[in-house]
Amino acid sequence: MSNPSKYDPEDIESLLRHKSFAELYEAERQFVLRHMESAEEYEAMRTALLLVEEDRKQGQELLPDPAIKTALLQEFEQRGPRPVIWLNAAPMVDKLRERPIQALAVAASLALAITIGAWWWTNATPGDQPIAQEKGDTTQQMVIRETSDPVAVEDSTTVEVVEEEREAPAVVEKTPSKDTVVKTPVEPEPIIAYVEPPIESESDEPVDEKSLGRSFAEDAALEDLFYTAL
Amino acid sequence: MRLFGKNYQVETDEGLMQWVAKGDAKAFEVLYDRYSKRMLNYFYRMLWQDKEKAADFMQDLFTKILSKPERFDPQRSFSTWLYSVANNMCKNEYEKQAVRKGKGVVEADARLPDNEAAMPEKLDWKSFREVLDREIDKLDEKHRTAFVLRYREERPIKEISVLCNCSEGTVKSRLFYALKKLTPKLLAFQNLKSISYHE
Repeated sequence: MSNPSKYDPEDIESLLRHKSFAELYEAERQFVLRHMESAEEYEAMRTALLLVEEDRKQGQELLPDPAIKTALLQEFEQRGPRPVIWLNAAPMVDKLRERPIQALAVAASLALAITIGAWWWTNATPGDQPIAQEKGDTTQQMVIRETSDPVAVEDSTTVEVVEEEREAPAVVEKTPSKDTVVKTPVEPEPIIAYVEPPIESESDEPVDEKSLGRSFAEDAALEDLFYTAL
Repeated sequence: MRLFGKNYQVETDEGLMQWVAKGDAKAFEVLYDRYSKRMLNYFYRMLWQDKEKAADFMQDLFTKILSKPERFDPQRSFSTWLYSVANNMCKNEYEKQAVRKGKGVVEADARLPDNEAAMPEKLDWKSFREVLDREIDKLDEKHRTAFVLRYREERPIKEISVLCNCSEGTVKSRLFYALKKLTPKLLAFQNLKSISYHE
């Protein structure tokens, strides 16, 4: 009795090899006749296939010339031992071993990642430090100071640009004579105060209230206010 | 069992290729002994029964192996890879010949007359092979490749599908078509064969 479940309808080759047309099951015959015209054609193809396979078994085949083998082995020897790729030593990268380009790409990626990581580690700054200290390396700060020299009262305010050090901020003050430079440590006060100094006349002519634009009393009050603020 | 050195004869093809990649000449020699005859005959059948061309192609094939063994993926079957390289070489040769002659393979047609009246009176395997080879040459490239790989080289359907980059069903279809086309050309031998069966 036929068992269609064991029959692969695509595989006509196995039918041709193993069964004559008379030996085919009914379902197989119907299938075969969908692809061939007659039982005779099936038998002809079956015989041709068996002939082809029998011919192969006869084994009259070409034999390679020994000179080819000699030449190939000489060529192989001339190339010498191949340098073993360093990744060969790692058993976990067997697949990479036979793909040197991929292996080099992985190695390059690793080297790049390590370089970036090292750079980041050495240049990283904690995010919770105050900004004022971050400026400690080299920042410019405007400082206004009054010197104790009474002669220089009128010219007591100087604006200097100083470089503040991280540990010991200092102010470079210039005296009115501008010949000596005094460097005094100051507390790190980030506050920059600027007060408009009293109006001074650069001319030697006497000043009256009209030319000043305000009374002398008002001017004195402004001056007191200025020094009070300082 | 060997305590020292390698026993090349029991090593797999894939294992030998790894040794070849490291410059082991003995491994290469064992591989050559295993496959040279098979590949020579494969080229002979695929390249119009030209012995010199087949020998040249076989040498070129092994030169490729020894020059760039790292191209082989050890995860794949060596024989499948080897046949795929050989198959590509044949394809290139077909294209070269087509360009040169302006059409496909015709060289063998001129060499062997298509004269069934010249068939021998009794089964002569040499004559049969000549006719078969000639008719195989007349097949188009896809059917010829499938037929030779299957019925001359005994490669499994699955491997042929990998080599030809198509499904197994397509390979079976090509085989059926090729056999159907060859059968009428072998009719004379069929009659002789049937007589010899009954004798």
